[in-house]
Amino acid sequence: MGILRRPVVVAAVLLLGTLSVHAQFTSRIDAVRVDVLVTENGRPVPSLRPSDFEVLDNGVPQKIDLASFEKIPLNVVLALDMSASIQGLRLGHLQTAGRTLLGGLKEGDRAGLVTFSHVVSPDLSLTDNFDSVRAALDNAKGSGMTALIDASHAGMLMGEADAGRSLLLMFSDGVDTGSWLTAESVLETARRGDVVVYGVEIGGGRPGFTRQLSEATGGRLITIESTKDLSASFSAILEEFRMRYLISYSPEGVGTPGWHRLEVRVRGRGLTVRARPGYFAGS
Amino acid sequence: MGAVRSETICLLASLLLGASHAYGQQATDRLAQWQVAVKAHQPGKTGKATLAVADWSGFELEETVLDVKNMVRSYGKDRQDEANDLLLRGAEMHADIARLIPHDLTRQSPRQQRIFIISDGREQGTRFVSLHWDLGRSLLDAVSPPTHPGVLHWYRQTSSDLMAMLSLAEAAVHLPRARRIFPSDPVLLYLSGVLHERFSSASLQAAAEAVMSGNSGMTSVDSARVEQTRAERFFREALAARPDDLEARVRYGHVLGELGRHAQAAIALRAAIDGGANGKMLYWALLFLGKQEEMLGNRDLARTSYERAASLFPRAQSPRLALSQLARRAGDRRAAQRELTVLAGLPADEREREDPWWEYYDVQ
Repeated sequence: MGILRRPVVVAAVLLLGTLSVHAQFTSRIDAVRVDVLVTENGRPVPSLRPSDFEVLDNGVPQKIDLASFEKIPLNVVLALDMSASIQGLRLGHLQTAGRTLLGGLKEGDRAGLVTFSHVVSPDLSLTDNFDSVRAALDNAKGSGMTALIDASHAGMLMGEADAGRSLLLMFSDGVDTGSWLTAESVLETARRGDVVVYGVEIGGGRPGFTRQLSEATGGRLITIESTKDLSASFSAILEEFRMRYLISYSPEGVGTPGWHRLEVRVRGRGLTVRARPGYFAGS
Repeated sequence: MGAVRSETICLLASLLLGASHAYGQQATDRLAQWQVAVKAHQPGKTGKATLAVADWSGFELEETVLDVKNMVRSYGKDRQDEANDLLLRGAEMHADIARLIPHDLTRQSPRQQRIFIISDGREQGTRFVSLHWDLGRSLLDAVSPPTHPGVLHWYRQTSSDLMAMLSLAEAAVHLPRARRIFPSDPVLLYLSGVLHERFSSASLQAAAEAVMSGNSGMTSVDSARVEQTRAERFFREALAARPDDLEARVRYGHVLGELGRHAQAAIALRAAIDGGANGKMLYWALLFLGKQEEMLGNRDLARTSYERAASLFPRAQSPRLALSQLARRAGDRRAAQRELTVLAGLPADEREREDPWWEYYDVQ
């Protein structure tokens, strides 16, 4: 099974290598990739074909070239809040959750790590050496303020890659208190890329930047009551992300620069579809 | 019954008279003790006599300050210098008690407000405003003339100390009182600008929101926009009084930018740079100017400004993040990621990072 699987994965990577001309790099949009979660009663729906999807780019229906499910390797970036409030038990829970997530990665997947307080440390770029990520995670310590917005930018850039599907998993227990970058500018960066952001926050606060970022990228925000629940949350996010479709199309009949509103539906069935609400093309 | 009752009244009256006499004696003793403490007090130190005054109850302290003010009022004009000297030295002693001997966990007087202790945008607990700041201010109200240079010196010094200690709630009460006496003093205007600029920061805004949403109480922090507008006015007035204050100009440029007045902000920041800003101040000016140029659509100028900031503090992360984002917005993912690689190569230890942006909201 493993032998059979490898050529499929390689083929998918190669195929994406040619398809993944990001929408924002040229004045003419060559291809757009949209990461889509399709659920029915909360459970992911497998086995949909490209023809099952309907994509409207600025209201114009598009022809879908590819709808890939499960087969594409993942780029998973962990962006973890290590500010002063994450010490002792909380830090232990966070490290355990990180290790749990790394344990769920498969051959071909890659992982990266950004830790942050007010200091943003892109500790490890995307790598398939998960032991090095574990080691970096184990060495992390909590101190300082929270540069959540700066870290989001670093995490998204780390996740942007020519191959694979990218997930940025952001954990924070608080609000931004020390970033240089602004929320608006980082949200714009998010709309230019195709990294999907899942946020995990400890409950209580008013929904803020992480929710906006998650929604802008087609991900979602999970609020937990205690860091005891972190491992389960991280595992659930990875599982859900793996069950998403990557659909690709070459835009036709739409203007090139600026904001493109996206609508993704599944034809003829009452399924729930989660995808980014649009993308930004051009500079 | 009536006789019994009147006796009781008499007895009570005599007891009260006795207490009053005893109180009068104690008050006189305290006034004398206070004067001894003031004379013995060495600025910045807490001697035995000062410690004894610090231990008095709020009522005793307030009564003593009233007695001091009544006493110096009786000195007359020919002893005004002596009166002023006593009042100024007294204010100095009370300021030192407030700074050096925290008595803020219990309330000494009903006039003391409860304030929040904030860290990383979160409420960490509460304490009481020190009564001694108010006692110092009250003593100086009796100085003649009210604009005596010693009074100005006291308000400048204590306001600066409160800001440096991040005692923002106290500063929010202290500075308006100071400005009522010295409405156009550039130092007090500048510090007021810094206070309100700090109130507009993400950290304080988050904390204020948490306090309000938890129904824990009121805060003296308004919305970021309102605080920035206040800060802009104070910096503008400070600059009108002292046009060569480069730090005020950098901060003025910063709040103008935050208010969306990018072209005006760029002019102010360029003036600070051309005027000789150096070190951290130059770094801030360049970083802020980069943002204004970016907002004005001048990407090349923005890049140049960020690169100059990065060259001043090569281990700072903010210019790297700014350059990375600038490249990403221009659609150059590779260049954006290259900046991230530079960031990854910086020391992980914050003490070695040295990014003056992190200190910006602390008064210098």
